[in-house]
Amino acid sequence: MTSTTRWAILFLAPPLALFAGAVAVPTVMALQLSFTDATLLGDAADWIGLENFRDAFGDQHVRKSIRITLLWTLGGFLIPPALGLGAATMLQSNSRFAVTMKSALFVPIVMSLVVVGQVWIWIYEPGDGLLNRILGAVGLGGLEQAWLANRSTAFFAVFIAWAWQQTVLAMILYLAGLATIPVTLTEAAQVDGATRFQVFRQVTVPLLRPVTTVVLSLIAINSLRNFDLVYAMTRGGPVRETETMPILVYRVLFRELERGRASAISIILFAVTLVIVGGLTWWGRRRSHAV
Amino acid sequence: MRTRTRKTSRGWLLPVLVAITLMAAACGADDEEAAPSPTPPPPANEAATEPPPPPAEDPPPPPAEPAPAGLGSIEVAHYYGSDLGQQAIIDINASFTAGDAEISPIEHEAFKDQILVALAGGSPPDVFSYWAGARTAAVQEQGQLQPITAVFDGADVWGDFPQALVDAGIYEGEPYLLPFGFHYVAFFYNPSVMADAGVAEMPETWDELIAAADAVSASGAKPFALGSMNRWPAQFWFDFLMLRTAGPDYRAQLMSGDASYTDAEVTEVLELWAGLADAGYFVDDANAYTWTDAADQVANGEAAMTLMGTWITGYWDGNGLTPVDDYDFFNFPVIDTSIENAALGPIDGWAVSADAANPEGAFALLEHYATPENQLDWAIGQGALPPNSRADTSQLNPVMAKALVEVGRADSYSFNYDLATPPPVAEFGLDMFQAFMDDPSSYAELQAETQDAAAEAFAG
Amino acid sequence: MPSRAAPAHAGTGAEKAEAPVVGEDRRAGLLRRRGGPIALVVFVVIFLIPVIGVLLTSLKTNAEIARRGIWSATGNLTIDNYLEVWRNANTGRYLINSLQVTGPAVAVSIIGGTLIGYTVAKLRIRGSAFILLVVLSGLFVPPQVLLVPLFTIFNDLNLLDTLWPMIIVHSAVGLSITSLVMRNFFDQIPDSLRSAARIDGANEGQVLLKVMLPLARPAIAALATLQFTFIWNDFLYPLVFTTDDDVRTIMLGLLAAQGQFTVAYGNQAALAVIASIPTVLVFLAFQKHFIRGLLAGAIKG
Repeated sequence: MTSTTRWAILFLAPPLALFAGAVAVPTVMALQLSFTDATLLGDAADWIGLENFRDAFGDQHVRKSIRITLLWTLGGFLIPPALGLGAATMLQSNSRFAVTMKSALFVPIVMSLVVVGQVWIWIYEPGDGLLNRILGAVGLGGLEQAWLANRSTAFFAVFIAWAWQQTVLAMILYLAGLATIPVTLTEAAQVDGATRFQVFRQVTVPLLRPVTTVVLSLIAINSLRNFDLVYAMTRGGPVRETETMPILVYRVLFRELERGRASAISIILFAVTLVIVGGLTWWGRRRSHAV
Repeated sequence: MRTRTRKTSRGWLLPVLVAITLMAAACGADDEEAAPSPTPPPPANEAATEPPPPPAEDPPPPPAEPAPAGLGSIEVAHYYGSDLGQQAIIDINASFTAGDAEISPIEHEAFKDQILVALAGGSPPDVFSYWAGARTAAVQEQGQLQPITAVFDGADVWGDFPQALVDAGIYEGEPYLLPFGFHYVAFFYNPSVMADAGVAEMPETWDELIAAADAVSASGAKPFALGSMNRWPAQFWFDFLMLRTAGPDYRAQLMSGDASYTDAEVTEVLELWAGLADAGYFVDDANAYTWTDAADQVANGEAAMTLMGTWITGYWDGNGLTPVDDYDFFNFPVIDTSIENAALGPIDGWAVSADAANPEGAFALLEHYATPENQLDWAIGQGALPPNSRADTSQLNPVMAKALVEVGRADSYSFNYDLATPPPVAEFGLDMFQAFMDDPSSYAELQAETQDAAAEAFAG
Repeated sequence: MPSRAAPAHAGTGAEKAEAPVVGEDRRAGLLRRRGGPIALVVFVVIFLIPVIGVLLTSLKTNAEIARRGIWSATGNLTIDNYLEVWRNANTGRYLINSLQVTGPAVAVSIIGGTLIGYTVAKLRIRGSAFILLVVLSGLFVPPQVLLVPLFTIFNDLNLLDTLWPMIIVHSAVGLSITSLVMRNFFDQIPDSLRSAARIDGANEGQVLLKVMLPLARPAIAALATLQFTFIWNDFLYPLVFTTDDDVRTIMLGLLAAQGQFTVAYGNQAALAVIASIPTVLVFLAFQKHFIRGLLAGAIKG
């Protein structure tokens, strides 16, 4: 064994032991249940092979929840990065004014989702909510409604609250990315006669692609793990319209008391996440080589 | 690279570990990085494992009394959220001298999950509050509770509690749950709104209810407030319409999977309910509100009535309303005179977990919870009805006293939907009620969907 | 471990992030012209409405809120809610508990992540890729399914109703993100730095401690912020692993306040603000590093 190997083992052993004890072992304990009909409170469980998975794919609620989660992720890919990049472009300056604005804009991301959920509930309230008040004030009173209770608006209402926070994340990362683009590059392009928009599209955006990969990966992970905010705002309702996969796992485990099925749905979520994040990473690398 | 001697390698190990330890310690506690294979914890004593400075000032509400030797400490968990209710339990525990009852109040919704994890993980509290009916049955069936025959004998629950309440505590032939407070669901109304609408006599029949609703509508208020955001408040409509049209026997079959949600009986219930919704009797956007919002709507006159349990009196009293003057109730009207008068509501009780560390203490505490005095104190504090019939009910507020009379007059007492049918099935039924409030005309589809899901859930 | 694809080539000319600052100001000036700042302020205010809503609510009396709603503009502001929340609830204790969980868990997860990240990126022993993959997969496990197994483990260890379960779980769960970020960071540090130090006679421990760690400060600052926010705001684990009021965290206090019968929006909002102060402070303190550290590997910085 080389000394480097010995050091490597020395460095790795403590954190990996911690990880094994508190994450890996419990995960395996939980996941092996996906092949059984284990209940939450019962002791006995029979091995039933892949039945939980077959059931899950045949279950309209599981399919709906996968759809909701994917739609959420897709929305997350489109809206927060676009708004975040826009905001970052506007704020990209070190003047005292811009720095103050930036500091203020950071606040949403450190707020607990419990608080974020509560304040957005206040915004969406049917009677007195801010959104309805504004709509009323600008003569759009006809649009006033119970945003979180209406089955056709609940998803978007919760999504917007979430996207609000994720936009800040995207903005922060893009601000950092913009700071690394040498001005000489964009100025050269402008001297060559390109308009500002052309420069932005053809020079800035491609150069930011690696940052975009990071942004999209974080957003993908956040949207696929999304539990706290939905729990705080709707608990998956009304009538499962906002039931993301983590919420479904929670419901199957704690309300329907089926541990085996909950574990199987977790594995499906795990697989979905892996495909999306793996795909993104691949995309990011391929594109950054291609540029 | 291989020239490094072992000695030097080791020489650097120490500083690294010291640095790790220091950095962690600087942040307020020892690090457990160095001992990821579980540090053998000191004995079950919390004081020993709890990280350093326990802030001394203002101790949490619990035990004010010194812990007397006797039966030692008993861990108690409950889900009662109101300030008055929490205080009542603290007071009742304070008068328990045989042991030391340590309470953890847990937020109502969180309690539902936390207790299940604690039971599944093998470390439940000794004593915990739970809902009589299908929820207790689900826990008991899995061997998570122990029989409390000693309590029923010791406190003479058999003799002092009405039969319906004794029955609510019995599962598979043995007592498992001590009834602590029970409730009665009825139309709670705002007398001044009813008076403004010219409704002098409270409805006793379906036609009178419709007439009253029309009168209220005409006066500009909404007849019925309903806050079904958390789904369960809508269930009482389904429960009562079914009890009054199909009767308790059919309902029991539906709850146990022996009848179908596509039956004509269910259709009739949903048609009646849809008729009320179509007539505009319900507040708009019921799914956007909680039951306390609905209570507020009645209190402030936006709506006249809400179909809710007697715990609403605890909420209103806490907000400074006066019984009789500011609120009152009437029984859910008769629809079919050939059908018996069934009362409806949940029963809160105490259970002792099978893995309880201190069962003797738990039994003694439950006996304490069963006395007429403590049941009365609790009933007054929480806005519940006392199961022990020896409790001095003259001290109840007049509305609650009237509720007790109504329950006594009823031919039978049933649990509300989410306590009457097994929890996995209730999940789907509650979804159905919420979907129904969203779009009452969709009831036929909802019936079919619910039946599919319920059949599957009953099958296991 | 197969050497990873080169981190992006964004830095084509400039080596340092600081370089473009001067020109950047000029460009921003071009962008802004006149109405720029005003548009910006409007955007920021609209964006911050939810934050402003919490702040305003926390400064209104409950009676005022009951009478005129949460969103009414009001002249009478008061700090009574703060005083009441501070006096009544166990707010102080909850805050201390939250600190006692968050501090150690942030430290341990970052130390662990640094060790893993460095080993994988620089020592490159066989199986590094696999190790990293396993640790990263922790990011994708829904925490709900871990609750029961973890509860059983902590029960066996007699640690329930202490702060240890939260400290241990967050330390371990955090390893996924910290390992990833530190790996990316060390990846872009030239190997020559390490070999030079080794030739000078330093062993691997010395290299990490004396050479690499000082360089890693931005990444560590970024992770500290991220982990602090994440752990501070978590309510799932404390909810399940504690029943004793003495060991509850501030997030549970917040949750309990929302579950109360008597809805006191003013107090709730005041508690929410108090609960957010530590994360805001940490964020402001590490702001500059935060950004560069997270992007390690994606950009040169």
